[in-house]
Amino acid sequence: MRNGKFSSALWLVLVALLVLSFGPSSGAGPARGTKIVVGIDTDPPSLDAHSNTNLASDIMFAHLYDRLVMFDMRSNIVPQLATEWSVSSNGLTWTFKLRRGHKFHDGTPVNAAAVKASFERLFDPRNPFSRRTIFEMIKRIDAVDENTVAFTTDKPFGAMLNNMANPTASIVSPTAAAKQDVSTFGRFPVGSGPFFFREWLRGTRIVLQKNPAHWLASQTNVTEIEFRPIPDDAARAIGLETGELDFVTTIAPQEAKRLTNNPNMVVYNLPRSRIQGLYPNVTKKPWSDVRVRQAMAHAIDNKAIVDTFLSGFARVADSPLAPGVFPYKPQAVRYNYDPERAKRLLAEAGYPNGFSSSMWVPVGTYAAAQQISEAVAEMLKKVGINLKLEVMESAQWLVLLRSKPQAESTLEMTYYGWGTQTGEADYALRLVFHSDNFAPKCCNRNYYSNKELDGLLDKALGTTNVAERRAAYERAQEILWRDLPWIWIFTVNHSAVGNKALTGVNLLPVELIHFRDANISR
Amino acid sequence: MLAFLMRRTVEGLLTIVGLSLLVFFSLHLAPGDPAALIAGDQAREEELVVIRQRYGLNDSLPVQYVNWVLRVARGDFGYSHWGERPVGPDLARAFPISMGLAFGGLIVAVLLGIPAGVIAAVRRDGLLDLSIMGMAVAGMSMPVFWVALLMLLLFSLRLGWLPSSGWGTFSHYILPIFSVSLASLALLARMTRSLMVELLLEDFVRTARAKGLASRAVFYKHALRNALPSLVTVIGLRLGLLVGGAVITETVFAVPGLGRMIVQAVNQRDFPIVQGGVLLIALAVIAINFAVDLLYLVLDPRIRYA
Repeated sequence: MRNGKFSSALWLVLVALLVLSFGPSSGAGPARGTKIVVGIDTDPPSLDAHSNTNLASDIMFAHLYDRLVMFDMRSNIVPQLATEWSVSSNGLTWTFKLRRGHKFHDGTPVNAAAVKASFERLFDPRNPFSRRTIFEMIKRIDAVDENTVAFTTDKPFGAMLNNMANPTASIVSPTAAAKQDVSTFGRFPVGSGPFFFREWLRGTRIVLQKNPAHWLASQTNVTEIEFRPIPDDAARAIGLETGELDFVTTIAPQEAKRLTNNPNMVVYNLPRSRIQGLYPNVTKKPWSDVRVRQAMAHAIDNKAIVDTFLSGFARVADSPLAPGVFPYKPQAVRYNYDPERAKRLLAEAGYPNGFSSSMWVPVGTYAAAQQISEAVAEMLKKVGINLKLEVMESAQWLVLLRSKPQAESTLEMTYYGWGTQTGEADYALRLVFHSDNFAPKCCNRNYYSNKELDGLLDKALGTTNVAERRAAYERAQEILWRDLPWIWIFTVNHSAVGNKALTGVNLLPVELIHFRDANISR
Repeated sequence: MLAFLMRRTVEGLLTIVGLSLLVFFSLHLAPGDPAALIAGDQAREEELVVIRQRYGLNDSLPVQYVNWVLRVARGDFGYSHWGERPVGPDLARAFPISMGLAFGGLIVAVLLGIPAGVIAAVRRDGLLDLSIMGMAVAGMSMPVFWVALLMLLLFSLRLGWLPSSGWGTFSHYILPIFSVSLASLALLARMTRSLMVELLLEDFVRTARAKGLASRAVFYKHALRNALPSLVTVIGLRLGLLVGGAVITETVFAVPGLGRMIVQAVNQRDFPIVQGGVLLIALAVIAINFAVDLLYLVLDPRIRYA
């Protein structure tokens, strides 16, 4: 054998590598006891609840911090730090009674002064906290006594309680916040929640550890949560199957559907307060004609989109509000898939032969945006609407979309979505449809204007009477559903998967996932 | 030699300055507003103003560039816009990981690719040659993300030998290194084979055989020795590609390396991370090319750098 030595050298290397690969591995199902590992898609930007956030960080905030009040599974407001609350008869002052004897993770007492300090930090104009705008109605905060804190607004503020349940309203330790500047606090957060911060290795893991002193401590046997960022959907699914991951907070619907066949997995397909659709510039022809917008609604087969591209992890929109947003009311009028009717409506509007337009499609912001947009364009083509798709990176899209006064706007139409993490109609409707909120001020970026709607939205925000608010918002939903300033297609569902050994995970409509009541049995 | 060293240093510096200008301006001139990305689509204009102020995004581009260069010269890579963290420590953690993948991948490619190529050349047109070259073609043609997923399915899910995610132990390196090395391994095997096949027909090989040297000595001392300079060139070039090109591997295996970090930062228009990361990769590639040039001296005594 002339090359005998070469061959044996090659085999030696191969064998050595194989042996190495048998070496110590934290592979399948290590004994983790009561520690759980949760797969997330990407690292959060920061763990500072006041700072900029994404879905992953909002999930962590409910564990690191407490808020005065919290959402339950139906977006009702339930006590948390505050055990009771009331509003003055003029509707201007909200008073919260705090739980006694609770402490932040650094030992600082959670009292009225701490709550006040936390909100003052949120409002400090030097800090880059963009989500504080939901509290702009608050004009004064008073620590009435050790355990009573009062918020005063200049006008009655109907959305107060829901906004207080939003992650932005998390109470941070005043001691830690005073010691650290904004940039360090986001990496070494100190709250008073049922878990405290232990470690963050960027791109690798965030570890939270149980706070035994928390009043919710007895609800869960989980002693440690490791959040592990894994960008690839298929890799997250494999991690669940190998047992390395106990839960995955978000996964491509196709992967989630595949895992429904796995007897060890629980697939969570539950409503979320996020709505998706087509967003036309209603001041430009032909979108300015409501019949054109209604024609589009009839020309799009919403059910097919939900089933095909989202594998059923969504539901066909039946109101401008998603379920889980107060006071969601399914609309009696349905825009059924009916291309013939769409053609008739277009003809009535003066477009018997259809027309051409364009649509922006951001990639990387919404699930399957490009595939869905392509399907929509095909459906619209059948009724004579030729839609040119302008597929672009999210960063570029965001610049085009926002901050343009009407005269400068280049928007024809865009694929678009809106999430409502306050679980309440003010955030879902006023920011987007009130004519006071035209871009660049805020988020009415298709310049829809309806005085009756404006009045209803103002009225609902300006009262703390629940029945009055409900009536105003129900009427607002009817108006919007008839006017279709947004052609709503579907509301997004949670698509999360967990090992069946992990129970008690709560997936809230307000886009949150709580492990605070979770129990693991291995 | 000294003149050569000085010339390479100056060239290297010029490359880095040019590259940093290119990266800086292409990033800043690309559509996209970091403040809008940080605050999200639901934020108001006034909040964006606060963010732009905070990160000096209102300054003119030349001013921003000079500020960045001055900071980096002091070893300060600045603060990430996305999440308020100092960039330096994150880069310092991610860079060695990516380098580890690149060098690990290269070592695997060299250790397996070159012997495989030699065997194929020696057994030219035999079954072993055909099967090795067949695998090499497959290795070069299969997309990395697909191979990576197949490896996860096999080694993590079916066999349970290796972890599919997480980071920190040696076992976490194995799958990413093999996935990174595959294309280079295949290329090296093919290169080695064709170089050897040519060299084995050369006069000096015949002479070596004629003077009665053992086949092994002919292959090692004469043929392979003469193939080395060309192989080293390829290896050097591959290493440059490996350092910058592990993005897909790092994404599939959730490796906290520089490639994944930079791609994410580009999407978020997180300028300090992209600029710092690209700078580090550029430095590494320049250093590698320099080392390759020096290696030539050792491998081919005929080469002199005047």
